[in-house]
Amino acid sequence: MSFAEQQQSDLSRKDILADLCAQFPDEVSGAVSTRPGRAWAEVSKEALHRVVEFLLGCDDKAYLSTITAVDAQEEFQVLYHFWAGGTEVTLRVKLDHNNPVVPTIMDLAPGANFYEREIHDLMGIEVTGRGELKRLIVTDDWPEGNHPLRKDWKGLPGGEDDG
Amino acid sequence: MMAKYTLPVGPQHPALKEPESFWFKVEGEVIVDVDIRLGYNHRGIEKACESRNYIQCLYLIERICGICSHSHTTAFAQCVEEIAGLEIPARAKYIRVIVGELERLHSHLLWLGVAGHEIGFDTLFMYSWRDREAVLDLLELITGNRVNYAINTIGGVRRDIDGPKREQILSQLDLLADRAKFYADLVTTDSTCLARLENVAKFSAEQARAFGTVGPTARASGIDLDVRRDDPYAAYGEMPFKVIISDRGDLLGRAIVRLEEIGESIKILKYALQNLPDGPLTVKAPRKVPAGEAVSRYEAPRGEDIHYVRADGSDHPERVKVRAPTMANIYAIGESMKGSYVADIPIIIASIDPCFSCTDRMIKIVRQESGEARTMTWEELRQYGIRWYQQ
Repeated sequence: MSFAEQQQSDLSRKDILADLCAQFPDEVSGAVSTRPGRAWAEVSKEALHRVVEFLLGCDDKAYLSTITAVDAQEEFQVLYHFWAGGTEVTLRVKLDHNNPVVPTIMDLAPGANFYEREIHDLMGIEVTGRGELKRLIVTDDWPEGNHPLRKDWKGLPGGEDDG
Repeated sequence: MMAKYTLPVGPQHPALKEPESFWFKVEGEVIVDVDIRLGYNHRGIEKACESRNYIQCLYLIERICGICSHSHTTAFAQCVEEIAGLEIPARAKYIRVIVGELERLHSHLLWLGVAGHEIGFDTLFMYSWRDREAVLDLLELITGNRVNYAINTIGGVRRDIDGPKREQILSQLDLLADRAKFYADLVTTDSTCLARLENVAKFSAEQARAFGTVGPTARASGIDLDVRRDDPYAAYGEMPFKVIISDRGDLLGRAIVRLEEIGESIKILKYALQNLPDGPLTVKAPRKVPAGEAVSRYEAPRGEDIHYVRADGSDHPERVKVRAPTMANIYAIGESMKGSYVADIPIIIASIDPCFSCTDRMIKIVRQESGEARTMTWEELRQYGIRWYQQ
């Protein structure tokens, strides 16, 4: 066996997406694998906590890579990227544009702390169940209600317009 | 009971590539709690990408970090190539690996020097930075630049490595392998290194996993993770190397992992240079990228670098997300400092991999009850740590 073949056979890649759909037939939708090692699925914010618990428990290497917030104009999407079962699994939670709130997953993945504070600062996503979301990125005197990564954010009120 | 002090370190900080602020609560010499603030160097690059085309984004992303610029551009280019359905030529994959591993060599040697400096071992700093020059010369030979190599483009790489360059790189690798072995022996036997690194800021595998720690910081706590092996990109599926793990969990473990990784990087470089496939360097990339999204992972010198790109069919991305490895490690390292001594602050912060670009090095010690403040520069704090260990 060549080294390359050996490397490939060492990839312990479970069909994590099938496991996920079998475990949560009603909660998980839109499950798709775009290529080997990449999986995407949509979950409701109510089911998020249970699905995350399952993913982190699926093998002893599973961890939360990061959390991304996207302003999709008609809605917000929060993407939870996990390395689990030899696959980068992205859980997508769609949120009402007027009321973007997700439950915390810090009790399952303490490393989520900074990522939740980051999406709160920059995208204005509220995270419940974890106490105060202290500012992490923006300054202490940053005006309330200004979330720079939102598509409709045009700069600080009274700020310079750089054209 | 001893009075509690709060010891702010930063935000302008020499030991990290981004300015960050640490507020240590200390009881006597012992750190009991730490609060971290980020964002002092937040340049809004993710937002800026939304108003630039993909090639402009690539050059902006090159400048996220002056040390691992190739890591970021490769992670970004991989996202865009995946969305656009591009398969880059084999030769381009190999050249991405070669530049990536040279970048790891220079980053690890840089780290070793800074770590040596923080513990008062300046000879080590001068030796390792001298050797790092050899790596920077090779990077300049290939790309024309010592830093910000700009070797990547969407769909491949911009410069070739011809026969004479290949020989020149290979001729330097044996020297670097010898030096790496020398440093690995030195760090594990020298009494100064052992006194300052052994059993300091221990971090268990359970903690490392819970906090999502990545890269050498995780591998030094016994976590067997390496994107190059677990989720191969570029030509890593074909490269012979082993993932270096240490179960020490302390600063010495982090040093051992990095130094042994230099040896593995050299193995990869030799293989890639000797087996460089023929063929073109790029495939033609469209100016407008079809709607879609992708996540790309890259094993940067400091750990997993993850990029997310969402395209809407136009010539600029709808959303770019970057999570650099320091973001994953910094919170964990704060937790691991609890119970350590003030004198260890410089080397513990340095242990997740520092940069030497910052110039403002003020440390302010505030006595909580009276508000009475004393100011120390970073240099004074470093000297304090060294003297404290000499007593």
